[in-house]
Order: sequence, then C-alpha cells, then structure tokens
Amino acid sequence: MDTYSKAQKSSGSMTINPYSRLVSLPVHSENIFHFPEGLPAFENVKEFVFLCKSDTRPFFFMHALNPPDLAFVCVDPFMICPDYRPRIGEADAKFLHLERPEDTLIISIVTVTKDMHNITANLQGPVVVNIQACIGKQIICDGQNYPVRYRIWDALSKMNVAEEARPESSEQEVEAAVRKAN
Amino acid sequence: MLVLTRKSDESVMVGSNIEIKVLGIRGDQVSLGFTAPHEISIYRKEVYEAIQKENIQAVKRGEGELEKLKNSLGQHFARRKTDHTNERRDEQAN
Repeated sequence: MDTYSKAQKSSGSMTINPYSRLVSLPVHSENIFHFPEGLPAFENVKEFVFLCKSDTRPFFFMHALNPPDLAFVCVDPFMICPDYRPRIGEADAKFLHLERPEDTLIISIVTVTKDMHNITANLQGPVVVNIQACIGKQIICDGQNYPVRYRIWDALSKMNVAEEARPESSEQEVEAAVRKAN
Repeated sequence: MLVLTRKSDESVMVGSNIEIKVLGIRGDQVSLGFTAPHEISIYRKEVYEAIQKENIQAVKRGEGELEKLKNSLGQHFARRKTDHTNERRDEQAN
C-alpha cells in the first residue's frame, strides 16, 4: 500500500518532516499531490505537498513525502517572467486531466546557489499541477526557447515590494504548526 | 538496437500509429518529422537530460539553503504578498 492510501485510511492525515528532523507537520491527504511519473531524475518520488512560509516569500517548497528530506524550492514563474507562456501539450493536458484553465497551476523549480544573485528558475521544465485532481507533472517545453536556468534575482529586486496585510491563508497554519512543534 | 537506413522522404513506422519521417539531410543535421497520437510526448533527449540535471542541482536537503534563502531575502521580499499560487491554495483549502 502506498503512502497516499495509508494516509487516507488513517483519518485523513499524516506527518512529514518538512524542514529538519526536529519538526513534523500534519499533512492532510487532500493536500497531497500525485506525480505518477515522479520528476526527471526523481522518477520514484510520486507524492508531494506544497509548503509556504511567510519568511521565505515569494518562494515556497515542494516537499516529497518520501524521502522526507527531499524538497524543491519553487516560485511562481509569471511573477518573475510576466511574458511566460509555456505550452502544455495535449498529451500532458490529458495526463493531468486538465479541462479548465482555472484548475491549472504552473510552478517553476528554483536552483538556489551559494551566491543568491545567481539563483535561477527552470522555465523550460515547469511543474504543472491540476489543483482539483491533485495530480502533477513536470512537463518539457521543447520547441519554446525558455531557459532551464532563468536568472531571477534582478526580476525579484525590480519588483515594487509593497507592504501588504498578510492574507488569511493556510500557510499561516503551517507557520503556527511549526512554532507549536518547536 | 535496430538499425535502418532511410533516405529523404522515407519513413519508419513504430507500431501502427507512430511515423517518423526523414524530411531532409543537410551536412550532419537530419530533420525528422513525427506523426504520433497526441498522448505521446516527443522531445529532444538533451532537453530531458538538462531538466534531469537541473532537478538534481535544485534539490534542497535539510534546511541549509532555506536558512540562506531567508537571510538573503531579508526585508526585500518577506512581506510581499504572494501570488495566485497561494490564493489557489486558499481556494482549495476552503
């Protein structure tokens, strides 16, 4: 039985170690996203949750359930590249059961480097998620000239960082859970 | 590996519904045309390999990078209201 089924049977929640060995967060099965093909180079990793923390915005984390220490830093590609228009092929759309644009979420995986000015986002291989069906895939935009390493520091720096009230969101719950666990 | 020799405008069938046609040859470059069902993804191998490689680079283990990220972002981005990603998450949570 896979982790997902187990999670579903055990009253709809389970626990992972999201940031370190010290902290565990409860994860509800409805927040687990299935990646039937895994990700390129991580083909056996098929279940992820998305974690947001207010102090790492605009970045968030795509965290594997197993292995528990595997996580990707992610960013909204449209925020760093407003003209970004990745083509989702029919094969991928079918695979993800995508029928409505509003069910589609497009995410870029970020490569964090020692020098933060060199951090990049992968625009050629966006992660596409059907948020209704909780299914995801890293697609490949071959034929479009999007870089695997799109430098994002300048784009982020140029943004007008407006001070806004923190939205009521599930990420605050995550925060609260982290503090509680600590 | 099956090896077939083809000329320009000649094709190879893979199964009954995938056709790979040699469209032209110029120097050491070959143009190939693919006719396949929509559910078959087709892309160049080096592109797939580049994404594999980048995923390995991107993997964050433990909290080292997270801490670095937090420190570097500092006041720049910490208070930025996030994008539709979170709004979507909220919608889903509701």
